[in-house]
Order: sequence, then structure tokens, then C-alpha cells
Amino acid sequence: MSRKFLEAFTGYIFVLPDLLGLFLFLIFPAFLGLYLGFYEWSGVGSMRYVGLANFKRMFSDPLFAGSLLTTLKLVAFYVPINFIISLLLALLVQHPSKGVGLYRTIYFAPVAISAVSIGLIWKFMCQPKGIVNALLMTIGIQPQPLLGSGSQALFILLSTLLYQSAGYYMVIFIAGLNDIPQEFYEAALVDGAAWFQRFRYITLPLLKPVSLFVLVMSLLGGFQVFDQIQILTGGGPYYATTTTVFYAYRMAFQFYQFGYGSAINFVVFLIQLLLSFIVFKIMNKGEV
Amino acid sequence: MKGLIKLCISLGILVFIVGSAQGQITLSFWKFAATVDDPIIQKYVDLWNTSHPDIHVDFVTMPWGDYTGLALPAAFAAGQGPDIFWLSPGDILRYVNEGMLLPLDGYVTEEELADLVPAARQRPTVEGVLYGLPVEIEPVAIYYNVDLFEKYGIKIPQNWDELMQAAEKLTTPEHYGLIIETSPSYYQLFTWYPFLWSAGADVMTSDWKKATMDSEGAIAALKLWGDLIKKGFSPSTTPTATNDILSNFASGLAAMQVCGMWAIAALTAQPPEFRVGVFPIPPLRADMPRFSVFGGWNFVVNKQTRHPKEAAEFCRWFIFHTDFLKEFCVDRMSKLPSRLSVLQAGQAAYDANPLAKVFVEEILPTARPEPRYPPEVAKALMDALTGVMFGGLSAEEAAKVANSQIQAFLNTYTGHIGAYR
Amino acid sequence: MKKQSLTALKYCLLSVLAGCFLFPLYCMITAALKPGSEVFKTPPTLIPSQFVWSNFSRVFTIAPLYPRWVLNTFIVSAVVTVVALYLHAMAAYSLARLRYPGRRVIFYLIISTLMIPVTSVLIPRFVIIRAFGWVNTYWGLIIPAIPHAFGIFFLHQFYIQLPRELEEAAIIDGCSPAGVFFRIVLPLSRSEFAALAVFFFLANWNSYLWPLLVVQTPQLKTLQLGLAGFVGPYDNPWGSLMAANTIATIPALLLFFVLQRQLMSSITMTGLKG
Repeated sequence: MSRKFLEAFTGYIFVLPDLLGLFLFLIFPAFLGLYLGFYEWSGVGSMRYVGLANFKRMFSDPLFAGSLLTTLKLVAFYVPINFIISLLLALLVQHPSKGVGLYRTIYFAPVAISAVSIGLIWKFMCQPKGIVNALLMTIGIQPQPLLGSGSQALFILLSTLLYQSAGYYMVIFIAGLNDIPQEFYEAALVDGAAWFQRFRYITLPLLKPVSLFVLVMSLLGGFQVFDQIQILTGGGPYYATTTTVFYAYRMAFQFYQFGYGSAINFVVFLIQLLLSFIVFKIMNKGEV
Repeated sequence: MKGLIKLCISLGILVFIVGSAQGQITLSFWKFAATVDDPIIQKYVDLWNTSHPDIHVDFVTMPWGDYTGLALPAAFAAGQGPDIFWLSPGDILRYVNEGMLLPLDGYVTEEELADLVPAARQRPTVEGVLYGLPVEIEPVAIYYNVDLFEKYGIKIPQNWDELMQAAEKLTTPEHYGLIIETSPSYYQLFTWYPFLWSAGADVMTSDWKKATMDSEGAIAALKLWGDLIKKGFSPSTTPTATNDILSNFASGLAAMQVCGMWAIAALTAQPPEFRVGVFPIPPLRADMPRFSVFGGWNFVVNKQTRHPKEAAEFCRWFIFHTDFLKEFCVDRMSKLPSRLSVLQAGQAAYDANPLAKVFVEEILPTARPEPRYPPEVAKALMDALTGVMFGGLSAEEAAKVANSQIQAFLNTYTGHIGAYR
Repeated sequence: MKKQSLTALKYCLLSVLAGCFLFPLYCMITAALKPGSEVFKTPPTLIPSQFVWSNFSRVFTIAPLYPRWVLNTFIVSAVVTVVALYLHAMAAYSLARLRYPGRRVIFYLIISTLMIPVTSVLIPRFVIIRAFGWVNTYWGLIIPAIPHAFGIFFLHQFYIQLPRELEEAAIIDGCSPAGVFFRIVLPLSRSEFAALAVFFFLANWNSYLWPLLVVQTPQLKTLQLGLAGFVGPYDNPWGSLMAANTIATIPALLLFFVLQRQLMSSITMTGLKG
């Protein structure tokens, strides 16, 4: 059989098990979820067909609009800051040197701990009479409402997310950095390039595929944050930390309006699709 | 090959044995996890299983936070709901509206029904039909730090002005005045209703046709909680939900906390470093009637169970023919039983505990059962309450919005009326 | 001289960061060791006045099934990790290197599954599992956890930047596409595999929502699920909660510590052709 046929055949076979699994356990359930968006269901008993009512409701729901804004705010800060911090950490610990393994473990440690546990720890620290306020008082700042204030709670949520994921993306960047052949750096040194030139002209471009991965994954991760919100604030105070995904969760699992929740989830899906498409396009500009 | 045949035969015999042992019926009994309560329940489940060898009950607990929201809906969606489970009053209406609960009238005798505390009996009764068996009665009141009250010369508040003054005086850099629930949840509403009622207001008329949130009393009740937060007398977040007395009040976070009778057991197990008292929630003005609220879980049976008779019998046996209620409620001194006979028999025990005595004598008589409003109504109320506390809404605005949202819902509501008759 | 101060600066920065990362964990452990009344004392104490080990022992008395939960979680995490690594590598290589119609579409389809909010598929997925009869079984825990676009996406980004010379050399030698994958590409993926192994294992170790639905008897519970049962509506002593969380974390951290040496050493050994 021809080379081309063999290649195509192998291609399909290789991708088949995962594709099948994804269909069965993600794509098909997602369609069922979308289907539910056209119904009303209270979690028990029968479903009532309501057509586009759930979708229409979203457009006149100020809380939904508010949740979109909150999500965008969160993501707008999270993605770039996370990128910079994890890349910085990776650069710091990339090369083997004394004790660097210990630092790597420490930075990665929060990743090993469940999101729920991390959320609980941060919640504990940010109580009105907790550690964070105690520390602030030692440097002369009045105790702050922290989780009791909308903007501060969002900031704390952001910090918790960064805390948990910095080590995660650090490891990914390390793998990416180590794949850059040493000769390039050596050649650049011979040419007399300074470290920031080496970084700009060698490291960054060659990190592009990994960077794309980090950007897209952190974008989607930011959209889909759940555990930390539930533990830290429950979406409050007064919806200040309610992202759209969390809003859908509340509508479905707290207020038993699964149809509306499903409709919202579908819209969130579309938004993520759009945004990641944009990221892909920007990063792959000029490439095939 | 020979070995394979032998294996198949032995497997076949095994399957046969196991299969024929399945002459017995198995019922699933689901409940949320509660580390202190569950061993007692398990004990009686085991008792049932030994005395009823052909009807086996599996007791399974689900994590509290995801019991009603996730575990139950998923199971019912897949057509695998448990045979027997516990529901709170608010959920009962939802399940009844979907026809998912088995009416239990025919399975319980008149005598047994008469033995139920009337207010408790109302809880699982919807439009005259009994859909469950109540387990416990847990009224809500305000716990206070006796030492701090004495230190600041504070008397038990008799109206809201005095309550606010007490909270203000008791708010110092070391502690807050009063802890209320700040997280939007059904529990939050549960603890807020007594304030609404003791301001002379209610959420809607008893025929569930008209919303009544746009009233002075409702506005006052919203404003009270809003002011407690805005003036800093209450912490805007708490380490755990405020049904937990140990991590909050008992840790010295505040001088007072709104909490339920279940806290007595916790306070007895891990006594704080100060003396504890409890007083009923004061009314808006001293001349108005006081109100408390009581909640409590209920046994219900899944209408789709394949063994309705056995499931109903299990519930009935559990409540009426064992010492479960006595052990669960009286002995642990943290709940009131749903049966009059058990309550009367335990009178002496309750009297002996100063906190429980207050609950039985002063609070229980004024306690109304937890309302069973549909989630849409609950959301409107939660949004109003948290809006005033954190969202910068004035009490008037919030009450108005809630009122119109609830009225809009009532206009289209076609389910059962969950009001207590 | 300059190099020394740069290195000193670097270590300074590393240590400050390390302190920031460790501080919350320190808070968790001390909260588990403090006596109940001290947990929220104002001002908070940095070192417990006494060491209360009973919070930890209480976890074990209340949870006699704890070792079983650890075993369950380990089985599920290990199986999922191993199977997923191979399947994802195959899929990623196919999408990155092999040519066939529909390749781009399939890639974007797979990536798009990352955008599906988890909570929206929980209940439908449960209904499907039930149809297979996998409720309350290891199958129900393991199989749905295997397909996940994350690993495919990750490996894809690596495979697209492999120099083609290696593969071309093998092809000239008469190697089939599958052969190229198994003999050339797979051995080169060690460091990426190590990273993914750590991620997959941890994700499954800490998984909660899905086991919550699948598991219906205490014997099959996974660790996070079992520990979540500590928190009832009426009893929520913070110390026990922190202790339970610390206990849940320790196996994960130990495992990471063991795996990370493997991970880090293979990462630093990589670099094609050195």
C-alpha cells in the first residue's frame, strides 16, 4: 500500500481512541447540556420545553452581564500576570545549580494541593481578624474588609489563582526552555549579544508554541475557575466575584434552574471559542 | 482448556449463589454527611438490618455541600434516585411539584400522626397530604457571651434598637458585636426570616398570590442586617458558614451569634473560654410579637421506588418504633424531637440544661416552621439581602425590586402552595 | 565579582519567592495544630502555643477507611496517567506530523473541548455512565478521566517543533509511520511525559466532583471525596478541617517530590542533540 495511504491510516488510528473518548464523555454530554438549554428543569422530574426563553433571558439579566464583566476583568489580569510570573520563575530555576531543585519543588507545591484546600487556606488567612490583616497592621495599614469588599475579594481571588498555577506553568516553560538548542545561545554569545538580546531574539521566538499553549490554557482556565470562587467567596460579596461559569453553576445547582444554567454555559463556551481563536490567530501570524 | 472450563463452572456456581441470595430487597437511604449525627443513624440502620433480614437498607452519606445540588439531581436524572432520603422543607415542595415523593398518609396510623408535634407535622405536609416524616425541630435564637455582657453592662435586648446598641457597644478591636450569615444561601434566609416576621412583615400572603415585601417591616428587616454590616458591628465574612458556632462565636470572633439549637451540642463538646447564654430574637419594637424559625430534616420516600411499602415502613419504624429520636435529639441535647411523647419524656433533661431550657420554654412556642418558597423567591430574597449588605442598595430599593420579582413569579406559578395551614 | 552579586541577587529573589509560596502552607499546618480557641485569636499567633495532635488523630478515628481511599485514588490516578500518556501522545503526533484530510478540523474540535465548562457536563456524563452500568465502579472513575485535550494540546505543541531530519532518516530506512512514532519520537518525549505524568496524576488525585457522582458506597470513595465527608452542616471545627486537608495534601506532595526528581532530571537532560 502506498506511503500516503499508510500515513493517513495511521493518522486516523492514532487519534481515534482519544477522539472517541472525547465524543462520548465530553462532546456528547455537552450537546445534551445544550439541548437542556431549551428546556426548564428543576433537577428532579420532567423537563418543560421553553424554546429560546433561556437565551433571551440572558440578554435582559443584569447579573449575567455583570458576570461577563467580572470574568473579563479577572482574565485580563490573570493571563498576562500568570505568563510573566511563571516565565520568570522558569528562567530563574532553569539551570541546575545548588539547591535549585528545592526551589522548584516549593514553587510547584501549591499545584500538588487541591484547589479546595488552597481556597480554604487563603480564606482562612483573609479573615477580618486573620493573618493578612495582622500583617497589614504591622506596617501601619488599617484592617481591610478583604473578602468583604468586592474589589478586594476579586484581587484576592486573582492572587489565589496565581499562587496555584504559577508553578504549573513554570514547569511547562522549563520544558520549553530546555528544548531550545544550546548552540543558538553559544553562537549569540560569540557574536557579543547581551542577555536581553538573547532573550528577545532567541528565547521568546523559540518559545512561541509553548507560549501559545500557556496563553490559551490560562485564558480558558481563567474562564472556568470554580473551586476557588466557591470556597473563598461563594461568588460574593453580592456577585462581585461571580464569573459567568460560576453564575451558571449557581443558577443550576443552587437555584435549580438547570435549563438557564445550561444556556449560560453554552454562551460561555462560544465566548471562549472566539477568544482562543483570536489568540491562535495572533500567535500564528505569518506561520503556516 | 480444562482449567478454563473449571473456571467457568465455578464462576457460574458463584453467580448462581450470589444471585439467589438476592431474594432479599435492598433499599438505599441517602443523607448528607454529618460526622456527629451519622454514627447514631448507622446504629439504628444496623438494628433494622438485623431485625429485618429480607429488607436490607444501605445507608450512604454525601458531602453536605453537594447533596441537594449535585448528588440528588444527578441520581434522579439517571433514574437512580435513592429509595429513602432526607430533605429539608424547601426542597420538599420542589420534589412534590414534580410528583417525586410518595404520600405517606396510608402508611402511618392515626395515633402516630397525633404523636407528632403539630408544627413539625406541617413541614412535610403539602396541601393536606403528608409527604414525609419529620425528624427534628431546631429553633433559632441568639447566643451571647455572658462575660462580655456583664463587662459592658448590657442587658438582654428587648427590641431592635437595643440590639443595635448592644452590637455597637460590643464591637471592639478584639471582637465584633453580632455574627449573622453573610453568604447568600438558603441557610442565610432561614436565619433572617425571624427578623422579617418580628418586624410584622412577611414575604407573601398565605395564599401565595401576592408578594408583600414592599412593606415597612420588610424594609426594616433588610436595613437591620445591612446596617450591621455597614457599621462594622458584624464581620463581613466568617471563616465558616455560621451554622458552625465553634469556629465563629466560640472562638471569640463576636459577642453574639444568630444560630440554632444544634449549637448546644457543639458548645458542650468543646466549651469556649467564656460563659454562654442564649436569648430569643427580639422583635422590632418591644410591643410586637416575637418570632423564631425552626428547621429540621425529614424522611421522604422516592415515588419511583420499587418497594414503596418497605421503604415507608422503614421510615415509620425509624421515627415511631425506636429510641432513635430520644438518642438523636434528647440525649445529645441539641435538637427537639418531632414527637410529642419523646419531647415530654425528655422534659427533665431539657430543663436541666440552661440553654436548652430557654429554647423549650421561650423560643419554641414562638417558632414558625421554615418557609418552603421556590428557588426563584429565595433568589429574590437573597439578592435583596446581600444587595443591602454589600451591593450598595438601600433597603427601600432592594425591597421594591424583590417585591416585583416575587410578584412576577407568583403570577406565573402553577405548582402546589407551600404555605403552612 | 559581578557574577557573584548577580548570583546572590538571584538566590535572594528565589528565597523571597519561596517564602511567599510557603507561607500559606505554613498557616494551614499551624491551624491544624493549634487548640480550637487559638485558631482565630486576635492577633493571630504565628507559632501555636501548644501542639494539638488530636486533630490529626481524629481524622483517622473518624475515617477508618482512609487507607482504602488512598488506595482507590492511587489506582485510579496511576491507571489514568499511564493510559492517557500513550493515547495522548499518539493523538498529538498524528495531529502534528501525519497528513490526512480533516486533520485541522479534528485538532480544533479537540481543543474546543477545553472550553466546555465542567459543571455543564457532569449530569449528562453521569447518565451516560449509568447506561454503561459503570456507576459505583472503578471503570466509571477511570475511563471518563482518560480523554482530555490538555495532554494532546501540550504534546502537539512539542511535536510540531521537532526537527524533521530524524523522522526523515528513519523513513528512508524503511520505517512505517507507526514505527517512526514508537522508535524515534516516543523516546524523545521523556521530559514532556514526565511533566504530564505529574499533572495527570495530581489532577486525578485531587479530583472531587466526578467521583462524587460515580461513587455510591463508602468503600469506593476517593480521597478528596472521603475527606469532604468531614464537613457536615452542623459540625465544622476548623482545626479538623485543616488537619484533614493537610493529610490529603501529604501523599500528593510526597508523590510529587518523588516524581519531580525524575521530572527535573529528565527535563534538564533533554535538548535535542545536546
